[in-house]
Parts: sequence; C-alpha cells; structure tokens
Amino acid sequence: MAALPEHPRLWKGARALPPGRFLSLPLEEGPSPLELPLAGLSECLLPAPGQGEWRLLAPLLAHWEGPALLIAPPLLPYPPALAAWRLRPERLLLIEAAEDKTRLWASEQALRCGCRPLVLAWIEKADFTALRRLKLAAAEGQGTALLFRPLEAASSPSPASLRFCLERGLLRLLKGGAPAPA
Amino acid sequence: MLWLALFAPKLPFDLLARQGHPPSRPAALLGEEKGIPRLAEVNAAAARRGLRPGQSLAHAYAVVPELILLRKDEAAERAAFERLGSCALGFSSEVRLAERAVLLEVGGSLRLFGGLEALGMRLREALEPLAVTLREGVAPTAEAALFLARAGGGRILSREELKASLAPLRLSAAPLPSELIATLAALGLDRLGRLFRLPPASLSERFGPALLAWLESLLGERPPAWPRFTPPERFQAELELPQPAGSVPELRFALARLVHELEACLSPRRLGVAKLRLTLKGRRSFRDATIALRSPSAEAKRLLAAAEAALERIELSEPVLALALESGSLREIPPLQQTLWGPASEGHREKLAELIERLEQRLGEAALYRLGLAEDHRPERAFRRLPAWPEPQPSKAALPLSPRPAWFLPSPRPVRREDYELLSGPERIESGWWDGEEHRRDYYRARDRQGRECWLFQAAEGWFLQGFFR
Repeated sequence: MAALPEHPRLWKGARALPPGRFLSLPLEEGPSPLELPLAGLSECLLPAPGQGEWRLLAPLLAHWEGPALLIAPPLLPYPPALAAWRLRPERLLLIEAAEDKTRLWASEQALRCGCRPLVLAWIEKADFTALRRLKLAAAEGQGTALLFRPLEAASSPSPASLRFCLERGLLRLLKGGAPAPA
Repeated sequence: MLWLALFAPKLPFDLLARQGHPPSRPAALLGEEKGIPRLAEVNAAAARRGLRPGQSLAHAYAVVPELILLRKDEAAERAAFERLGSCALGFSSEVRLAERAVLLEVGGSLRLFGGLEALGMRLREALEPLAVTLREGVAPTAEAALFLARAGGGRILSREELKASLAPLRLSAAPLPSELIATLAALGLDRLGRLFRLPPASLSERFGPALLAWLESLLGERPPAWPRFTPPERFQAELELPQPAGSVPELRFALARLVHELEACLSPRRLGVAKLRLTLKGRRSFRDATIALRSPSAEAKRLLAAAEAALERIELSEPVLALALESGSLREIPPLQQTLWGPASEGHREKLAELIERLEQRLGEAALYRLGLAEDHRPERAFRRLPAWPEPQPSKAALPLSPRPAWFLPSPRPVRREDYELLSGPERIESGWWDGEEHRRDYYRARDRQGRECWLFQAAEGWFLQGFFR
C-alpha cells in the first residue's frame, strides 16, 4: 500500500455502491465498502455517535499511512479497542475545539499543511462556502477530509464529492460513490 | 591565512532603511568639525540633491528642507555588527569585529566551501537579510583585507605580493585618525609605499606608536588588533518603527524583518531557538507574547507563522513605537531523525510538526494530544494522555480478553436499565481499597433503543453507560 496517496481513490478492492441504496457495513475485520476520494471532501451524516462509524474508521485507519487527525470527536477513541483492531492508538492526533468555526479552521490548516493527512472532523453547522473552502484546501494541500455531521445537514447542499448517511449500522449513499459493478 | 573583510560604507543609512524608511528620501549623518555641526556622511538621495559631507546644517536644510538628519547610533551599529558577526561564524571559526567591518579568517574554510568564490557567494547570500551594504577585501592579513575593503574593495591572495600590491594605494582609506592622515599627506606621505620606505623607528618617533602598530599589523608582523568576536548567547534585536503603529497589520513588516535577521544570525551556525519573546513597546507601556516551538528552529517561515499567531493575541492599548525580539537559549538543530519515519516522509513529518505548532498556538497546548495504552485493568485507567509531539513510541499493554468499546465515556453516564436490551455479560471488574477507589462493576454489552451497541455496567449506585462498540 506504499503508493496509496497517489491513487485517486482509496481501497482498490472496494465494492461499488449505487446511489440511494442501503448497504450494511462489513464487520470490523473486512474491507470497507466505501471509496473515499483522496485529496477530497466526504461527509458522513449521522444522528449520534455509535452508529457504526468505527466499522468505517477502523479499516480506513489500518490502510492509512500518513498522519491521521481527529478534530473534535464526540467521545474518546478507546485505545484498548483500537489496539484489538491492530491500530496503534498513539498514531491518532486528537484535537479539541469547542466551536464549529475553530473546527473548520483547524481542518483547513491540517489539509493545507502539506503532510497529506487524513482529517476526520466532527462539525455540526457549516455553510456551503465553508465546506467549499475545505474541499479546495483538500485538493490543493493533498489532504483527505471526512466530516461527521448531524442528519439535518442532508437538507442543505454540500460540495462534498461523497456524502452518505449512517444510521444503526446502515449506510445510505446520498451523493458520489463508484458506479454499480458490471 | 587568508582574511576576508566586509566593510559597511553606508551603515547609518542601511540602519535607516532597516526601520522601513524608503532609501529615496535624502538623509545625512550629523558630525562636527571644530565644535560646529556639519554633515559627516550623506546618502545617495542627498548627494543627488547636491549635499556633500562637510557642509553646514544651515546650508543642508536650505537646499533640502525634508532632509532626515541622523545622529550616530553606537548601540544600533554595534548590534548590527553583532548580527553580521553571528552570521559570519557559520563560515569561519575566527571572526573579528573592526570599526564598521567584520573580518573573517577564511583560509581554513576554503576547502569546505569549495573555494573563495563559492564561499563568498554563500556568505553574501547568508548576510543578505541583514540588509547592510558591504564591500569586500581579501588579503593574507586581517588589517590588509580591511584596508582593501575600506579603499573600495580588492584582493591580494599571496603573502609575497602583499607589500608590493599595497604600496601604490592611498593612505586615506586607513582606519587611522583623520588628523594623522592629514599630517602625513602634508608631508607627501599619502601612499603606503612611501611609508614602507621609512625606517620604523623614525615613524614611531615622529608620528606616535599607533601608525607603526598599524603598519606592522598590515604586513602581518603583528597579530590583528581587533578583538575576536564571541557571539551573544541569545538572539536579541530591536526595531524602531518609521511611524507609530496603531494596529497589528502595521507591525508585520517589522516583525518579518526581525525574524529574517534571526534566521540569518543562527541558521549558518545550525542553531535554532525553541522560545522567543516578542515585545511591542509603546510610549508608556509594553506588551509581550511568548512564542514556543515544539523543536528548535531558525527557519524564518516557521518562526514567522508562530510569531504572527502570537501577534494576533496581543491587544494594543497604545500605538507601538518599537518591536523587540528576544530568544531563549540557542540550541543546536539536531540532524534529521530517520528512525521512526523513513527519509522519504521526513518532509511530511516536519510539516506535521509545524501544523501541530500552529494549532497549539491558537487552541492551546492542552487541546492537542494523543492516547496510548496503559497497563491497568480498570477501564478509566487503561489508557493515558500523551503529548501531541513528538510522535510517541508505540505503547504496549496486555489487552482485555473481552471486546472493548471504540467510543469511550471517561465519565460514565447514569442510565435507566429498561432502555437497554442486554446482549452479553456480565464481566466483573473490581478495584479495591489498594487502588484508592473501591468499586465493583458488572459490565454488559447491550443494545439501546436506537440500535446502538453499548457498554453498560451495573454498580452499587445503579446502571451506567460507558461506551459504544461501533
């Protein structure tokens, strides 16, 4: 996986999703079904923490070689659980920021810093312009962003290349994603 | 031995430009002749308007009413030369400071830098941010190199040619009292060659010991008279603003200048700083901010980003007249560490360090951290907080046999048992009086009404939620 950051998309072995359909996430050991756009912006909308986001994050982090930042996670990622998934907990850089404005700022700084990070940020309110800034920062700084946002965000438009809902371990694609397999 | 002398012919005006005054404004240095104030030196803009050294102030102001008149600022000149000297020490182990000049023994460094041309180029490049106009002289003795630099620049590379090459040069460029030079010139002794022909004893007798001592140093019969330069233990620089600044953006130019000076003084010696203090001086009070870096650095870009962040935190209560930058102790910049990260990712690692610094400056150091494992069976103690930088070594601990939740609540939340469907358990986790907190908990995996898999426990006080598995 050494050449990973050069690929336009992550997870070569990923299965494709037709938009708008539900898909169960795999168990934590299996590959994720999602293709996350590298140097791009993705959004995961969820009603509360614990919907199954670690089924996404654990394989994602296992494949990620660069720095990984968690900006304002709602709870603590628990090191004994991460270690059981063979993830080194100290690889994750955690950043506390109380306000969305600061979270967006920190995300943009990270995406632009040039270290090609994976930025996982929990952001409640962000308008189209703010998200557009992040998308631009991701593209220009070669950073990859995945935002976790409340379900209500689905009603407002977003420049994210990939957008999906995550509820009770079910994933519903709203936008983006690979075309259905032949 | 080969000496390189760098003489600053326009120092007072360079110092004026350093403060941000445009060089297009006529300026003159104030001097005096027989107790009457006169122009001692003029800049190019003043010369274009017809001003010359020696003219009276009344004449100067009549011709150029907007003339900026400078007084010789000994402290500022000395500080400028300490900066030049600090930078020069990156190119030679022997640096001496003369009046308005830096002298470097470069014979020992030629091989390292690949010859005199290459060394000169690197040195000029390193000195450039200090913004002092410098004229070079190269000669086998320090005094001769200085003389050549003062005389307009020149090179004498071999000891054998030294005397013959100096002989036709005019004495007026010598760093000797002007009265002495005038006396000698009146006697027809206006070129070095004529002095060389006179017997040393009579020179000393007729003109005092200073002249003979200087001639002996010039020809290498006596070690250079100028003191050896020892660099200051901290970087310290101050800059007066061209006009009082009422807002932070107006300070950017001055701040950038100070930071670039720091880089020029330290990076040639591979030194850096991890702490800096920025002081904004007003008429009645001053404000300061401390800038802390994760690792010592002298890189202007990095320091400037940190300093600008610090500047934003300062609230101005009155106009700022001057800016000062002062470092903590100077530290050697360690060679690149290649143990944890491969050489290919060294650049990324540095950028990550810079990012952490920038985030910490705005959010506070406590806002950034990592988590590692800890050897403890109690859930709240099975991990510990680690600093964000440097990246810690992998932590190891025996993992519990039963699964642990991915999301953890450090403070368990009281819940109602009837909102949950128990899936598996219990796993009893006890801690006794020896731990300081005595409790017994029975942990369950349970599902809440939203379908989430939760980590619950029952204790004497009731039911509590402590995490989510996915």
